[in-house]
Amino acid sequence: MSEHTFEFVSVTKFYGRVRAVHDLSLSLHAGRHTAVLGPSGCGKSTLLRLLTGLEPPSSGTILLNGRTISQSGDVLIPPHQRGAAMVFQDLALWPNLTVQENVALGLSGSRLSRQDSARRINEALELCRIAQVAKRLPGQLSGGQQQRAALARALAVRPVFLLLDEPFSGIDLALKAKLLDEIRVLTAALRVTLILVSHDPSDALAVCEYAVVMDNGTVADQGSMPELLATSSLEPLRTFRSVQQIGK
Amino acid sequence: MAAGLILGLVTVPAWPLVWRAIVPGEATPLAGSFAIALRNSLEIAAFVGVIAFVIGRPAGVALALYKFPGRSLAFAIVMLPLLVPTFLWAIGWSALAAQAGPAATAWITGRTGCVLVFLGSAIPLVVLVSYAATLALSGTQIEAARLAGGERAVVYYACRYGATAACFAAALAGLLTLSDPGPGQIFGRRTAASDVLTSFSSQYDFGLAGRQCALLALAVLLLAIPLVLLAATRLSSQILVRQVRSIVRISPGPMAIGISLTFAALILVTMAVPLAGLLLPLQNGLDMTRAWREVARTGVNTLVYAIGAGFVSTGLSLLTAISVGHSDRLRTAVLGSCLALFALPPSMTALGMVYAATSGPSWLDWLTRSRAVVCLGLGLHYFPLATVIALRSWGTLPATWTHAAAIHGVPFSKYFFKVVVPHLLPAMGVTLLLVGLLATADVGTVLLLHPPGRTSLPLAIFTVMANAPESLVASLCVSYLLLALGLLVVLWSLAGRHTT
Repeated sequence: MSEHTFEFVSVTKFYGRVRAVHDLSLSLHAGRHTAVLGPSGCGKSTLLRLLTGLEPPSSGTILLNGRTISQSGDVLIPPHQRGAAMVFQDLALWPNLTVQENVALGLSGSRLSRQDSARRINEALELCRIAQVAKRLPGQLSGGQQQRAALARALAVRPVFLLLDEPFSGIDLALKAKLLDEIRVLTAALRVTLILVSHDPSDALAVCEYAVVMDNGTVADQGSMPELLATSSLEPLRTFRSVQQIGK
Repeated sequence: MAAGLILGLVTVPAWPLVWRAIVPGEATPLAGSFAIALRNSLEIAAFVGVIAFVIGRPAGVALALYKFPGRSLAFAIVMLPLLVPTFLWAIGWSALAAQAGPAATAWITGRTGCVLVFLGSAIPLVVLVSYAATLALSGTQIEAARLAGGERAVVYYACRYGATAACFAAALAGLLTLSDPGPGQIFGRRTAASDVLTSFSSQYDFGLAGRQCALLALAVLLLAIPLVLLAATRLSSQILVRQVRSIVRISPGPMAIGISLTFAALILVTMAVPLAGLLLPLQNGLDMTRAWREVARTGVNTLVYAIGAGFVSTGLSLLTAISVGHSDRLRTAVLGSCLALFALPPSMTALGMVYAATSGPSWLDWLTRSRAVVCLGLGLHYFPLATVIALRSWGTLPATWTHAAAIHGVPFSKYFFKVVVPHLLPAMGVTLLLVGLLATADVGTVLLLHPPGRTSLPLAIFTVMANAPESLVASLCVSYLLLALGLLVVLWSLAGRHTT
């Protein structure tokens, strides 16, 4: 697992005339839970979209284990062959399918036999503790159950990287803490590496040991979480540190 | 690219006609009198557009913002004229004027008569667009306006927000009158559309009809394109958007009765009065036996044309929406093109198809002179409208659903049929039914394209209205209205289910 590495080399991404990511160079290693931090609009979500191959870079190269998977204007390896799964900010659960069908459809690109597929679905539902609501539609679930359903769909494909794109925005603090705890346990059990995009350093602190701070579409700082929390003068870490000091 | 190709293909049937019209010596030169007809048409269009805006704009905002007694019923009835051929209302006004005496006949004739009839379908169009534009506001935006300045601020803000869309709808309603020959012929007002019809069906001069049609289309485009360029971006954000948190309708208190009465007056003028005119001849006896025989004779054709047109429009619009995807720029461009296409005279496509049928080999007659061609002609005419609904519905499909499918490698066909189609199905159903209803009311395209003996019900009424007994014409009109009302109720319940 440790050799699974995504590498961004001088990647720039434009949306029309807007530059979302600028000359970004970065390595993301399997086995090291990494948080991508930064204020709104700094290019965090774009980084994930480039990594998954949902968008091609405007210039630069993205490598997976030394092999080029995206380059200027081209996605060479499709999203589902990159070993990454994602939980979206709006969860992106397909609303007309039950939880079980959501997980099953998510597995349809994996070319598993019917039995294997059924086993994976059950495993994922059990792991995420939503087997009892498997026959319900997403609209009939509570906020926490929806989060777990999205997590089950992502984990069922047994990804190397699990990408979380601010999935905790809009849920209460207690539930967030509980979910983060569950995610930490699950990722350890399944040996999945987390890439967590957030503007809140406390989320990152709960599950990640490494952090990349983005600003204006590029990497402004990176290092271990404790080190960055102690030294970085960048937002949102500076504010986080101030709030902690006020608390003390 | 794909969307451009579909839009290009939709215009293909009109190309031979345009070619024939612009090649010198191919067609009879246009007489100066056509300029008078064109001027008359533009005059009527201007009156209709302005009056429809003045009445339809506040009506649409009121329907979206307020709850008042009979709101849903008022909305449904106000929309009914959209589904009824204008010549039926023209017959109604004309019969009523004849009954009221020479003074009324002198007043409700020519331009006034045409404007009155066209307002019947123009006002509902403006009401519908204003309503949709006001619903694009979120509940919180309305609440913010209320907190800032009370109800007056809400009304002011809502009126300003959808003004561009309503203004455009009024202009479109005016432009649509340019291609409708019915009222002009009944009220003795020479219009460009009636000249085109006369050239083709009475003088059998295909070239002249083609040239007149091309000139009419040019006039329409000259007026429509600047409007589309100015308004498309705003329309895209005002019509194609659906808010997550929708408006909570305001109870207007004592004003509720006033609003209800205003709508009753609107219904009275646009519908009840001409309807009374249509029903007047029934005093001499109800000829429902012959009327139902006519309905039975033409019913299957009417249904085939409606369903066929619905499928053509819905299928093409779905393809267009898929090819547009989530690109805002493409959505705006396609919306603008659709609005310009919708304003073009439908006789252009129909005449082009007739031309292709007459110039094509006779062994293709089974196809080029079949009911399928009528379905195609009607479907292409209503394609722009279907596309607007498809774009709106597609806009509610979050991009992240597609991204999630892509990340999981879900095969496109599986994703399409398991997620996309069920999501779009209600909107597609509404489109199918709406286009079907509008196609049922169409006379011009069916008149030009129908195979011998395969007329639709409105065309049968249009054909017999001058020679048949008044009681039969009235009975036929009543039968048609009852059918349209029934279908409108089905459409309403479907649309309501979709909205909730």
